[in-house]
Amino acid sequence: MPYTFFDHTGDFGADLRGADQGEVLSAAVQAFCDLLTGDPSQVRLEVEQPLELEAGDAAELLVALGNELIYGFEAEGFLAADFEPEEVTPRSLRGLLVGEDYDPERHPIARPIKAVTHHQAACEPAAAGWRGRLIFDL
Amino acid sequence: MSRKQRKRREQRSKRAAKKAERAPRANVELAPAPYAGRKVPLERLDATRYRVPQTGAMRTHGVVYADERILPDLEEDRCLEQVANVATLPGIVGPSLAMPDIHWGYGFPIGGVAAFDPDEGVVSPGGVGYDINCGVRLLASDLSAPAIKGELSELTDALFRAIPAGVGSARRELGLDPRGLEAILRDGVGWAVAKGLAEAEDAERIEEGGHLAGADPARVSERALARGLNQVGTLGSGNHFAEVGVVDEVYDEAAAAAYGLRLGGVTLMIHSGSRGLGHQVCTDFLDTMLRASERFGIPLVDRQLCCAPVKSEPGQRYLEAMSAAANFAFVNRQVMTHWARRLFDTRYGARLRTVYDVCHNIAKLETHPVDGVERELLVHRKGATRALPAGHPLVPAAYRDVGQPVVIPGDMGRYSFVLRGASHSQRSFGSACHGAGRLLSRAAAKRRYGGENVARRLERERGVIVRGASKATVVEEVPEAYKDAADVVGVVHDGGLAERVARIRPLACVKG
Repeated sequence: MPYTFFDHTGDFGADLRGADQGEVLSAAVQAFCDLLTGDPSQVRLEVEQPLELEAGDAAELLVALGNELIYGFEAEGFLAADFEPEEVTPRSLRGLLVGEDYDPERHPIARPIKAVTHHQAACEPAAAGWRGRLIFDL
Repeated sequence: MSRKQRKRREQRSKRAAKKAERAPRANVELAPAPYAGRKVPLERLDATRYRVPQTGAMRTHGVVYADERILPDLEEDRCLEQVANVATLPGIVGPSLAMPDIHWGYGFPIGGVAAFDPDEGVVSPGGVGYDINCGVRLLASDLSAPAIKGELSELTDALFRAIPAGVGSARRELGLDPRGLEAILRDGVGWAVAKGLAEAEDAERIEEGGHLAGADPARVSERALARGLNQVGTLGSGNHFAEVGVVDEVYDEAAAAAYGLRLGGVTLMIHSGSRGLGHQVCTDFLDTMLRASERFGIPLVDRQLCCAPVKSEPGQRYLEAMSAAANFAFVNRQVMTHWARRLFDTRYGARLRTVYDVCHNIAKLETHPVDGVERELLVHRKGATRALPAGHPLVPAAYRDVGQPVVIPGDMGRYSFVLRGASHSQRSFGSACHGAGRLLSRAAAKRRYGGENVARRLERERGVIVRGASKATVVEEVPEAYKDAADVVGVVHDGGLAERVARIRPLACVKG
């Protein structure tokens, strides 16, 4: 898996890995789905939601993506499980969120995610590829 | 891409593109944190207080309320670094404070209190938190424990049905439309009184009368409104709960009598906040404040501490939106109270009377003594409870002789406490702790207790009935994940911030 959860006292954090920035963004969406559902294999990749975002830097872009996932789930009932990047720069992204509409009968919800935080948020080149960090408020 | 993948992709339905319409964001360079990568030294001040020495960019020192029992727990995570980080913010008055239930948060620690000069200082959404006006309401019934003992399981199920909890929980029978939501944001509990969802005396027993003046619904984004529209009267998730309990110890007969608490009396405690609406307000304004920090040249050691001068345009806009979200939270707890009242009335013919309702996550202009002089300050409480002493004009008339009730929920297996604000709370800008404080992270609790049925164990060992919308949440909220609330309350009591009045033992708990 391209992500590892780490302990944050009241919440959960995720360390993200990828060959490039786009893969780190994809890892963030997968970690979100895993944390939320506890079983991401139950989420079908059958709906595409094109997405464009801008931010001040790569870390802010990661936080902005997390905010889109939460709003999409809570207000629009869209459960994203992956992100397919089309064009990514340190200050912008364009790509497809992929998942399906939330179905309470079929999708287990392990722990609702209320927000993503700027605290310790990171997305940057690493020794091998890129690394990211995101803390989720539960 | 494999043939299978390509085929699957061809079969996908495609939605219209979403493009977030936001101004370009700030690119904030972080300044060195005062104690980054170093152990934070603590100097003992007295039996319940430790000083965090001023260093680096700190503008003042920190003060942590703790004793020898609690201190080792505080050094387990990074909360002490965060006490120092808050002390770097412009216009801070007095020390950066931490209550004994402090633990690692984002920007501010959970359990952090900081006061700012309205002219020289800042307002920070991170100093309030995502769940604006998360708080707790305590209700006392005229029932005694034996009256419900034989049917606790049924009562818990009924409470679970009466108060929607967990993900996607919604309450559509209120028939709220955008105009109704706007009225809630503007009027707070006054809206519930007008709709017959509150009793006459409720408002006077809620902090600020259940209404923050200065709330401006126009400052709340469409996204926040969309998230909040169907969430009025819902519990939410995480550490939120509705808990039936019994008063099992009274420490201060006079204060308990004033609060309407008696030994053996059944209580209901509701812990919830502003739901998705408040979270979205915080999210929206973190973006605003990152830009404002850059614009006003405020150095940040943590992006989550982003802020703006109190009297600046973004500072005022945030306070107006935050106040609207706080009013939403007051109404949220009020509507849950209404449905719980109907349940207790229908089942037992019993009345539930509001003892008090306090905010945990808030920033408010308040007057406090500083070096013997009364000053107006913007007090941020991030996981802390206001604790005003006897005689204070903001304490409801019915409680003015004993002090403001300070409701401190513990965990769902042991006990919670009711205290009364005491005179040394002048040292903490009228603040005390807000709960037991986490001891184990959620991940650690899952590792240690994920293999067992926590709800069944609590029923077997402690006679507490638990219903949860999510099994994972119940495991992560296991009593052992929290400090012993008696230890935390002991520090607050011994430090003179608030004094013990009564202890409440849980009987039945509904978790989000």
